[in-house]
Amino acid sequence: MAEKEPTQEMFELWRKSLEEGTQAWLKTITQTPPADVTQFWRPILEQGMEFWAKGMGQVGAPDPAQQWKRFMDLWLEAWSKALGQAMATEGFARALGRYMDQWLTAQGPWRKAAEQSSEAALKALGLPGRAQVAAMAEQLTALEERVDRLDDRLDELKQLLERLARSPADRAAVPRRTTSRKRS
Amino acid sequence: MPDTARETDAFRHLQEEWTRQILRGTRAMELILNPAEPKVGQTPRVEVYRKGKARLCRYQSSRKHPVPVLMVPNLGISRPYIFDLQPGASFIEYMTREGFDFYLLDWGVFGEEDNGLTVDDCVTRILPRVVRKVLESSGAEALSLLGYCMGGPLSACFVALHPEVPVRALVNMAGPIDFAHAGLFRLWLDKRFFNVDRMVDTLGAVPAEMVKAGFKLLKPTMDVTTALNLWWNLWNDRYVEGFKALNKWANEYVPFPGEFFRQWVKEFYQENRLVRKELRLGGRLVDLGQIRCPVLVVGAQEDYIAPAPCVRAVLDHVGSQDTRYEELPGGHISLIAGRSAALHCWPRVAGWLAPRSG
Repeated sequence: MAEKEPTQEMFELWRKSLEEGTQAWLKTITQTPPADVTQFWRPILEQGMEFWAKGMGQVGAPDPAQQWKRFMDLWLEAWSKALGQAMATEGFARALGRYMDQWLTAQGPWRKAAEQSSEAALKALGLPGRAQVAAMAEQLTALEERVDRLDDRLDELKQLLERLARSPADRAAVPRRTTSRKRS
Repeated sequence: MPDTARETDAFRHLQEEWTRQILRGTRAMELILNPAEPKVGQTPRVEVYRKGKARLCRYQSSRKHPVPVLMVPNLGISRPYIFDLQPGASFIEYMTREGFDFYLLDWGVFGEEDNGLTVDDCVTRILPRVVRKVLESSGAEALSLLGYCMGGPLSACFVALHPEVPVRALVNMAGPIDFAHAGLFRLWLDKRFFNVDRMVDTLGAVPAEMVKAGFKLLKPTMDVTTALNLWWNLWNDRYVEGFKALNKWANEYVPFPGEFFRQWVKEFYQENRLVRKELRLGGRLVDLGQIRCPVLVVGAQEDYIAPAPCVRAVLDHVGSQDTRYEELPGGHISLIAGRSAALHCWPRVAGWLAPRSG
């Protein structure tokens, strides 16, 4: 147990300094509403640190490299858990949605302008624009779809003919419309 | 432990670590100076059908099992070579070795011209043709469907809407069904916070960079963890080879067609229509109760993209008698790729399918 003490001591020192730092930081931002920070980050950080302290207490391997890796794994795990909890709040989802809205507001006109200028440049060079290429590709997709439908119909006809050739009983099952058309 | 023994032990560790450090440095230099692209997707295959961007590939086997397996992966987001990453680390290779005639549907990389593609198109227009091509190409009378991730609900919808298609068995691997339990994405995409119409109307499609940002945000420490683990295992050639292939895949995101994303977010994430029996595709109501074939559901314990309860839910709605649920260790990706997958998931899927593929 005696050899764990310096590590534990170092960890306690670090925790104390982090706590003091957080307190000082919180004091400085009390001018603006700090509700989100105290609500989300404080309990999360404490939880993360407890988890870390527990892990540090379990370190028993004499290999310093192993200890460092374990320390890093625990540190990352604690952060991952803390961030995961923060991101699972409605506050975060709302902030993300607001950020997306702002980004899209900025993107919309910019994209439109960029598209217009690139279309104009391509047109000046006598080259097809993006919209034209996309329209052509859409037409090809539509054509492919029509070919596939024809293929489906041919398959159906082929199956029908095979059934007719196989059994005379199936012939009766053929819709009358088909036979009457042939006659006319 | 006596002091001398402890010192010897510590010295031995130090020596080992020093050797590894030298190896790490060498490998790091090799990676920087020779950043060769890893070879992926090496299992021999034949393209049997192509529709738009979608490709259907066949991986032939000894056909110990006469019923072929069609794998339907996610659409957009990432490339499907994760299922055939490298020789010895490939789900497809494993399945073909087990005697399954394996078909993989690659939805392809979408462009601006595909922005009009919808979930309806995939389930009622593309999947029926793909299934027919599998039956034609294999000469089999029935097939099994294996949906992974988004391919899970797509396959389930297809089977529910087409009871006449001879589906011998359905496997849902990490495919979200009940979106009330869909984790962080469910919250972030909630209609109170996220305006999908605005996004699709502005951008047309969801760019690959945005897809990447969304997935990275789910686990912000992932990149640091990956880098740390790489450094730690850099002395190990096998690890580095596997890492290069997986890292190539993990950073190759593909865009989402706009209309597909709109329908997916609105009807699945925001309104949870599939389990509420309110989803209409191709003008018909999707009733999961119409699924009567055997169903296997595989969920991952640490899946934060499609959490296990969200995946498992399909069993509460299907009309099948023969059902099974497996909850395996790992996350969304490690369920299907990597050492853990080879150990836990692949044998279970093959073992469950085998007696149902005669």
